[in-house]
Parts: sequence; C-alpha cells; structure tokens
Amino acid sequence: MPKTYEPIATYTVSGSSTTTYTFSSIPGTYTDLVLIASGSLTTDADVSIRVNGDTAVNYSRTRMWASTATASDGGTGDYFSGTVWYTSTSNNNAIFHFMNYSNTTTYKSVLSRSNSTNTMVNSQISMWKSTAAITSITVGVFSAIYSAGSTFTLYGIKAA
Amino acid sequence: MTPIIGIIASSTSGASALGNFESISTQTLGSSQATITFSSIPSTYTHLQLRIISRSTNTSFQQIGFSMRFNGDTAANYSAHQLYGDRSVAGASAPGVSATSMLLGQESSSINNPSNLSFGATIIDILDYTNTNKYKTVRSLTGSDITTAGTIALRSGNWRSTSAVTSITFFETSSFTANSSFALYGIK
Repeated sequence: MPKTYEPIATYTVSGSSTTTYTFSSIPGTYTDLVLIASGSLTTDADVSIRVNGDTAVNYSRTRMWASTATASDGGTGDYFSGTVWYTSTSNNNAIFHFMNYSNTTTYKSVLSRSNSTNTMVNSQISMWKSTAAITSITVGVFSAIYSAGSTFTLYGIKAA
Repeated sequence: MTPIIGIIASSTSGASALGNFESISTQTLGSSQATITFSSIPSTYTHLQLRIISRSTNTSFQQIGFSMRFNGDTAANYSAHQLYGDRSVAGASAPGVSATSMLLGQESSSINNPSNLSFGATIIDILDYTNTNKYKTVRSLTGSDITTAGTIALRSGNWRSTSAVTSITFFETSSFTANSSFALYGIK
C-alpha cells in the first residue's frame, strides 16, 4: 500500500540569525499538510504563518488559550499567528494542519495547537482568504530569532 | 506504541505514524448532501481518524455544529463535552449528556460567510474502535473562522456500546454543501 503520511521537508536552525523559514515548491499531490515546529526564540514573540508570500490582510484567526486563566480572541491581519513562544530552556511546540490545501474552490482553513511548555496552551482555527492552492509556507515571527536547534518539519497526508 | 504516536500527530506533538497511517475512503461532495456515511469500515486498524472540511447550507446562523453516530444507533447512547472559544469568551459545556448523537464538528454556514468560500475544519480521533470490551471514546479539534467571527473547540464524545464501530454517519440541521470533504484514515 502506498504511504499516506509522508515527510516532505525538515529544517533545523543552526545559526543565530534565523527569523523566518519558507517551505517552497510544496507539491500539490497531498490532501492535507501538517507542519510541526519545536524550539524556542531569543525574545518572546508569536510564531506566525504566511502562505504563498501573501502579505495582504487576507488572514484571520479565532483562538482560545489558557495560562493561569482561559480566554478567547480573534481578528484579521497580514499573517496568522499561533501561540507565543518564550525564551525558555523548555521547548515550545506547535502543530498546524493545512486542510485541503491544494483545492482551488475554497478558502483555506488551518487548525493548530501549540504550547509554550512552561507558560501557555493554545488552540486555534485560522483562515486564508484565497482559493489558490498553497505552494509555499513561511513560518516566522518577523521580529525574533529562533534558537539554534529549533526544528520545522512538513508532512503530507494523502487521501484515497 | 506506534498507534499512539499516530494519534498524537493529530493534536499537539511531534511524530507521525507515517507508514502505519492509511487512507480508507474519502467523500467529497459535488452537491449538497444531508448525511455522510462511511460503512463497512475494516477492523484491521487500532484507531480511526477523520479529517474534514465542511460548510452548511444553513442560512439562519453564521456557524453551526455537526454530529456523528456509530453503526446507525439512534438511541440515547451518546454524550459529548467541549471546551470552546468564540473570540469573546472561553468556556465549557455539555452539548449532549444522554443524547442520540455526539456533537463533534463545527462549520461555517451560508450566511454572512465571506463569498461562501469559508469552510470549517475538523479532525476527529476514534480510539480503539474495534474493542468489544469497553465503550468507545472520541475526541475532536474543530473550528470555523469567517473573518468577523469564529469558533474553536476541543470536543469529546462517548458511545455507550461495546460493539465494534463498523459505520460512521455525519449529519447536521441542514445539509453539507458542495466541496465539503470527509476523509477517513486508519492507524495501525
């Protein structure tokens, strides 16, 4: 039986200047994409996503989170952000599910969960207002630097 | 431990089951449809996962939920609970305690929905679905965002039956629109 859940690419931060990383030329042969991020930052900041290099205000999000209390908010922007990553020695992590990313008839929905392991847990639905297939994903915070050893892995899930 | 790793991959953490994660069947709607059923589900897996995008034909509410039943059972053998956020509050509720189905999914509808192109997204894990010694437990991560509003939820469900799950049916108060897509996977 052909593989259904496959790794596409992995990036490990090795230097001290990485603020964004882009998975480009993503094949359109899968049904969903899963991006798993694990690491920390040199300053506290949101881990954020843009797709296809789109810097317009075409993104929105709804999230709920808990630290010492629970809360929920949402809004629009020129990227959608996940949880805040902190400058701790503990790992932060996030997993993003890009649902039906290559279809050209719907806006794209992204489910995510993330954790700042000693501070916060977050669940989120995000939308990219475009019917274009997703061919690139940029993960970054646009202001903070990833610590060396942080990893980003992109998987593809293929439906029958 | 591989199946557990596969389930973790659907929610919060790192590794995937990779070769042990297999596609069973997918239904993508060409026109609106009131119910979606996966039948004759093979018993050769340990867990099942459903990955869904969906939208409702409902024109009364901006967002609505959808529900799931097993094996055609319409009796009050289900329960469901949720943690949710709607951009203003984060709360908890029990949408079904002794219910005839499990509320597990959230989707946008056909009113005030940007260009009617916004779809809800849902990932459902059905754990140990062939085990005949215990009731079945289900969990989901689901949400819909329509720019001006949104809902995100962590939901769980329980089916009080020791039967193996052999069929799954989804339904809502209206119908699922065209381009809604339901993909069923098995995890060994």
